[in-house]
Amino acid sequence: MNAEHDLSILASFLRRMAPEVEGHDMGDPPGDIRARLDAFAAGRAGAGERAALAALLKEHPEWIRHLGRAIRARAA
Amino acid sequence: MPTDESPAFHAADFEFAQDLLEGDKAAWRRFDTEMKPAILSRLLAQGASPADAGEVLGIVMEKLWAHQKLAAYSGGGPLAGFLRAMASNAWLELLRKHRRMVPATSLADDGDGSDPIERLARDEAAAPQETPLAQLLRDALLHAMSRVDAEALLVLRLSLLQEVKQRDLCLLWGGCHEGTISRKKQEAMEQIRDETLAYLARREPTLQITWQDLLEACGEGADAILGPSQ
Repeated sequence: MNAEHDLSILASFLRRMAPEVEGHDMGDPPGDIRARLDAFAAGRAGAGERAALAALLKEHPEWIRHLGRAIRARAA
Repeated sequence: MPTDESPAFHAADFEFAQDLLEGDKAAWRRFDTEMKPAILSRLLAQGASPADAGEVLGIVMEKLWAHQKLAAYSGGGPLAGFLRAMASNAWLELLRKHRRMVPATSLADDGDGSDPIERLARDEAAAPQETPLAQLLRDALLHAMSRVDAEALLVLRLSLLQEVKQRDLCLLWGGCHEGTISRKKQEAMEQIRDETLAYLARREPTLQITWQDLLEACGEGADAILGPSQ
């Protein structure tokens, strides 16, 4: 099993079949959520907050792009 | 229109499909010797009896020929994958059609007092008609993703879909070792695979689909199963 290859195929399929799950950027999350995601991206989230945010992002995958961008921006 | 510059473009297969669409006799002879056995083999592996496989192959041929279904093939993957996915879709359609065929005796004594013809019409309307395999795979994948550990799924998505580097994920996850992140990703993907296949086995026990079949259907076969099958 090649996780990268497999997930890439499935994500592409779901973007067509269920755009609400793996779809396009839906814009920035609400302010309070954005602040928590930015803190996470800055490495300031403890285990409890990580778990809470992971559960939140499972329900709202459209906000993951914001988190990804925030992490990449800090790493650059 | 696909271009030769696309790395995934299968030019020879695309030309082959165009020849088939134009009714080229040599192309159809080649189809009979190369593609038909591949389709039959896939159907038998997915639990179809030889008779069912023959019936499904006939449906596939009708769609390809009479409905010009091949026009949906864009060359984005091997033609064989497109055809196998199309055959799996037709097999699932046939399975569901068989399930909806209620014997006359059971029509008479359903017990709820409703008109049997109305019940049949209701069942027919409720059944997905156009993209049964795509709908089934979507439902299975969404179910599987709902079952995966939230943190592992987040790691997987950040790493593989958002291209966040592994070392950055380690920092975010309390300075853990890179092996921990790799393991989380692998375990999440394995869980998605196992939950997906388990869901499919529950929902469609006769459709014996493997993980490779599923990836093929979602990838190179997506054009075959996403559009209207008529």
